[in-house]
Amino acid sequence: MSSRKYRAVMLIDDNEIDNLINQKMIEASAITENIYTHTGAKSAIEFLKNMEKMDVADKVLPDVIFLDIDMPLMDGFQFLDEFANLSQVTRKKSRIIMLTSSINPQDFNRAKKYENVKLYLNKPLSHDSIMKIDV
Amino acid sequence: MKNNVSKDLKILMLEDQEEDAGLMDRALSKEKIKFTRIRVDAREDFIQALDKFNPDLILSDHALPQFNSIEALKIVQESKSDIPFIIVTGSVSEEFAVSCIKKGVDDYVLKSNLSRLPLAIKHSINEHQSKRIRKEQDEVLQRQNIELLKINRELDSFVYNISHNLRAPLASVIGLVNIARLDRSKNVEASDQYFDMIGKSTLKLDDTLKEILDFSQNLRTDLKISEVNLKQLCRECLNKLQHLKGFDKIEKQVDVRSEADFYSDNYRLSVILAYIFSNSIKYRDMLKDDQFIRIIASISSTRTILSILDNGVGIHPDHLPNVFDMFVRSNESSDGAGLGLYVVKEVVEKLKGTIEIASSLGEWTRVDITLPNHDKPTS
Repeated sequence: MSSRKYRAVMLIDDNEIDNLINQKMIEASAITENIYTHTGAKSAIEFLKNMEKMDVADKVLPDVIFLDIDMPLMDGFQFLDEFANLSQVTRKKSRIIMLTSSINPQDFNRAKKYENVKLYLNKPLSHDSIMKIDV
Repeated sequence: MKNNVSKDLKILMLEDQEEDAGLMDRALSKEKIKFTRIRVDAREDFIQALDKFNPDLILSDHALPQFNSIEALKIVQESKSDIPFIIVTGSVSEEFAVSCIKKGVDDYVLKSNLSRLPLAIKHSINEHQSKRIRKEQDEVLQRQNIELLKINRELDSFVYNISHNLRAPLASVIGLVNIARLDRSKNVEASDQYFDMIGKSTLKLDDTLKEILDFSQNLRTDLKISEVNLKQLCRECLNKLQHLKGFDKIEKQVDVRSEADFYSDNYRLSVILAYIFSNSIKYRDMLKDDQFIRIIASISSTRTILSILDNGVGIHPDHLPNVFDMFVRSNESSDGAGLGLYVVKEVVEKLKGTIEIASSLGEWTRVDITLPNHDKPTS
């Protein structure tokens, strides 16, 4: 299956149930070869920082990051602030999709202000919305 | 004057003729107005009298050798004191009278018609009084308005957050139904897993609803004071948490020392205890063999001091200052709405008590609560 759109996507959500849902839905729509799952924004940032150091960073970095907003300790917006400090390679390669249950327009508007955020999706992730992803 | 002046009216007269002042005195006495008055005719004396004598009323001639009524009025207005000011003068043109009123003079009375003076005084004083009342009412209204705006803003953010907390588990349930459909043809085990997860998500939804309910109950209902059997109440609250994972692994000690009977609100106490105990259980340290919750209380006739100590995972010092805030989740494994300790704080405050949390990360957490011991209800 080399026709897959992405080599890797990353899921960041503190809720393991939602991670499972997202993983299953993405698997079913066959858009990627690999899925990295993180239950905390901090560990996800660490993971990306380690990846950037590698020679093959451009290959292994995720193409898309699905990011939840409401998480304990480091929330989605704090992740975005940290992400802005990562290398240009990472910022160019990994495009961020907000995936949240928040239908709060304030969250939507705040997310839109981050240039690395390419799309804002509401949970639950559906087959249709995955197929429409064009980032 | 029959209305609202029981003490003598303090009149400051700006008048260079004692004779004219005497005429005014007589006009007032005729109408049985009780008063004391000071007469001045120079700027400095006027300013001093304004400060020291603290008059209720100013009667001013217009033209004095070195001073005049309009300058005097300016001084009064600049002093920000709200004193009725009436010009009593020989003769004025209509234009002049109008210009005086526009500048803020309350009335003008001709010396040739002093019989009008008592009525003019009465009228001016009433006018000032009702103005003052209106101003006070305006201020009260403005304060209430600011308060209401604040409440509205809080309500707004509350609704936003609550709707998020309700929507999150609901979105999970919808998502689980979606993936269960995808996997329909597969084995039973997968479906069982999804059912479990749906169950978990709906429980979370239920917990959030209960938190909202506790929060609003606390706000809306009055205190209901009755005798509290604290030891028994602690046991009951603990037993209600049996369903929590790890409950059996935790050793629970309840030690209550009482010098007096304890009167408080049983329902509110049980809300406080339930949230704190469930935190102790949820955030237990699974790596420790001797997991415990120790509840120590001492009851005196004036207050009850309650201390709940656990050796759970503890709270990071960075998060300690915010644990009582609304919608703050301070633990990585926190799965609640972040309302629990906020509700606890609100309830403690309703009981006019205090609450503090101390913790050492990885070692222990201690909650200290002090509650007043209420009087025994009379009925």
